[in-house]
Amino acid sequence: MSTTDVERIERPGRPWRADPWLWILLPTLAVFGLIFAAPLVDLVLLSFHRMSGPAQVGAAFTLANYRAFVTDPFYLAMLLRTCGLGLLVTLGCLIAGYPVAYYLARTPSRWRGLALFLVIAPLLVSAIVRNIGWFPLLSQSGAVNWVLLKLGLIASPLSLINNFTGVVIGLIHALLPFMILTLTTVIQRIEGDLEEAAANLGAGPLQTFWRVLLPLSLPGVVSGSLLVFAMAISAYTTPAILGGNRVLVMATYIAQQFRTVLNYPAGGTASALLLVFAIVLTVLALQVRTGEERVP
Amino acid sequence: MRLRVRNLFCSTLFLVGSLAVSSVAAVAQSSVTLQIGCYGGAFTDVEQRFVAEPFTARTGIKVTWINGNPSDHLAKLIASRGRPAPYDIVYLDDDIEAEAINAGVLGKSGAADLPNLKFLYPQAINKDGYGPALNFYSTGIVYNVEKFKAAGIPAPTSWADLWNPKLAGHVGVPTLENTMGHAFLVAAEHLAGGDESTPEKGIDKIAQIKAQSYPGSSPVLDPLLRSGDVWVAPWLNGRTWGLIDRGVPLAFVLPKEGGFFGMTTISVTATTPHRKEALAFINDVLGPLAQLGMANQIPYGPTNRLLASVVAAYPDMAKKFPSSTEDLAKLKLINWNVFHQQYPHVVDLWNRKIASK
Amino acid sequence: MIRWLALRGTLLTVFAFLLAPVIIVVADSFNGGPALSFPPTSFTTQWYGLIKPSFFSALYVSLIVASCTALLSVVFGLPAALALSRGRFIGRDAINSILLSPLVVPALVTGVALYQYSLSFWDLTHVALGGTLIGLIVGHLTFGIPFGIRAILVGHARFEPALEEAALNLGATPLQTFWRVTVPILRPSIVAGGVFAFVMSLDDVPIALFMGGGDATTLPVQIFTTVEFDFGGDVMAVSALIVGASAVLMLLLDRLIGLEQLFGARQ
Repeated sequence: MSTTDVERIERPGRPWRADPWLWILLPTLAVFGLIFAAPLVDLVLLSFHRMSGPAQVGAAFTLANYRAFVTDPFYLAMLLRTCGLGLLVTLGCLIAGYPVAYYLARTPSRWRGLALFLVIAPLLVSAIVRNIGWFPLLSQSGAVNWVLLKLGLIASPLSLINNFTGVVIGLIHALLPFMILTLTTVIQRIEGDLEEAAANLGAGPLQTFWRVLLPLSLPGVVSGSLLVFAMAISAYTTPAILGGNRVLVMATYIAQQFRTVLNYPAGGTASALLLVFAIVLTVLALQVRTGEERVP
Repeated sequence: MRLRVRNLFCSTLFLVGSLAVSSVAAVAQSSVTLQIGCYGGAFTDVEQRFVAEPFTARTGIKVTWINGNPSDHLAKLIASRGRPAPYDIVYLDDDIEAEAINAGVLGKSGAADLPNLKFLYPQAINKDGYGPALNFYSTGIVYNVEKFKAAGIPAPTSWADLWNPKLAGHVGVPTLENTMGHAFLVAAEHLAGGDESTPEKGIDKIAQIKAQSYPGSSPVLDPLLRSGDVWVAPWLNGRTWGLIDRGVPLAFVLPKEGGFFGMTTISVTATTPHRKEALAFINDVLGPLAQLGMANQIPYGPTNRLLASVVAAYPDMAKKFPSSTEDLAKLKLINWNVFHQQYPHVVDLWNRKIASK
Repeated sequence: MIRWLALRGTLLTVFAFLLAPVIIVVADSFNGGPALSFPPTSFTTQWYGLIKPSFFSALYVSLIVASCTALLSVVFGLPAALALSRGRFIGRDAINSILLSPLVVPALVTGVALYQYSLSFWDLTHVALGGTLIGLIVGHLTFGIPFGIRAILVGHARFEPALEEAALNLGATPLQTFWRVTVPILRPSIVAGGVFAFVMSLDDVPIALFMGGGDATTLPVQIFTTVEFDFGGDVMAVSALIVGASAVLMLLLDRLIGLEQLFGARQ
């Protein structure tokens, strides 16, 4: 490992000892357990019971909910759709976010502070207002279609909202700031001299990016992607509003079960499966190594 | 003209209101605070102004509003069974009240507890003695007059008109998360030859519509109507008139099969420690001042029969909501108990046949 | 030249994309016609005068909750991030994933779970968390702490231990080293984590819906319940006001402290 642990003292002949860092982790872990893990486990345990009424469950323990979910192609399709959405959104955020992060990390301009603010500004508008703010832009008679029609690029208005496209646009927009800020922090830590050196050695800008910048920032890229992916698969307001309730993903299904149907077992089942899936994915992603750097 | 009538009306209201408040000889004191679950926004504002403030001035009992969706209030009430309820009073849509009664979280409030109950229309009184309705609204059809004229489509007169192939891609179909969604499903069930006990027929019928969008709530349907992406949708009288008053070229019609009743009910919770004070508050909500306030501000139709002649004197206001016995006769009630028995199944059908296509 | 243009072009496009809804909201707050009508029909500032006082008290609550959330997220996040990046214990990756997991769970589920839990908490202690600021802060920490941890972990990626070693060799205690070497180096990511937690707290609706109420009503909940009944210009005005106020705040911070200092110097 490249980061040496200064406080650790090597003791030969002792095969296992409690890592002192575990103690530092403990308070946070305890708080986390208390405010999140315990309540969530409590709720998810309801998935092992049958629904006996709105927000109520029967006493008997059963795996029927899980069986019903996992053996039903409808639900599996929903899970697949969720992953597809997550991947698409993450990719979009990466492609749009990397250049901005590079600029923010490298620019000497005194407008850098303002630019950083502009990146966060969309998040300051409440989600429902923000989503509804997309309607004048993306609707059939909205600004985007109006411009495209005037420029003659399209013959009839594009369907940019109340469908999957609208959801992708809305989610990329909502999660881009997170990707940008994460990448900025990472790129900042990479010495600019490395790029200069590569350029001096004759590498073009694309080569410098591919062989110097990207590998060095990869841990940050994966980290930012994990963050955006996690938030994309748990988003339900944006798919509901911008998708016209046509795009059924895990989160909208879960929200529906918990909110209107009050079927806690069904909602709990889907939540548990989503959680397990995400944890497994994260653990796998954390194994990515480039050279000596581990993914944080 | 409209403005002058409205001003006259408002000043009458204000006069009555201030008389009510200033008639308090001695300011009462009380240590009780009522926790009230309500909707928020303009609804809570109206109740605050026309009920809570005079009530507090008269009795000294304070009021705290906890705003949110009625389903959330229901969920919290059910979760708190066996413990002190988070609310003393709760406002619920009539279909959610039916669920709440079945869950056993509401208390009864009969004629002995509520003096104003005897002045209500019969449809507003709960048969089993639970919370009465404080307002009426209706689910009908909203359509864009200009778009229909431009496309050469006659104005809708029946629920079946929403299936018109010329409207494909321009219909807004509300989901089951809201009142108009429930009403529309029942309408579709009837069109398909069934009723509340045969939701499959309704779902199959709705799946035939080529909708532009399936809005889950009014704030989402609102911009779609304004922008003209949606030309026609089942919607509520109040919201429609709100947009019409703002200059959007819409019109609201009750189809010939009948529009559907909507009611907001107010109930005392089963385990409230302040039952007497809560009932006094509810009584005020059913009184003429609060009822007129709601009719004027939101607009909702009053459930207090005594106001029928007052409302009839202001036709511009009266046309916006069901305001007379004749109006009420044109609306259909929905059997919520039958509807809710199948609710999880219905939502599942909707997910499979409509939501993921 | 082309490279410069390409980069500038991309930047402009992305920033335009990011700001499009914000511009719509701000423009609409001055719109005299019905809200969301495009193009806007007339100019007016009347909406700003029509913002109800309840919005301002909700804003006040939101700011308090968000600030506390941001602070506590960083306080709890920093040691955890350090432990996860430097420690070598079994299950480290699993714990890392579990600490990220609240972001995967739809906030609604967290809200419902916390409410039910607060009732059990009441059973034990007779202390009500629902409808209190503490309840709101606890609820927001469920995603605040993961944000804090994530941000600092990323910033720790290329940490040079040599600086810490040097400080220790020069006689500094581990605590002094922590405060005067480790924290300043990690400051940009600590600030980033705090900003994430702050903004997400300011934006949250579902958790605040379940855990709040009455005096503990946050601004997004107030907006959410208002919009259910009427979409007027005043909601747009409030939203525009938030953006404007934040911009002013950032400008002030820049003048006083220099945002450069906060977000870290470039190389």
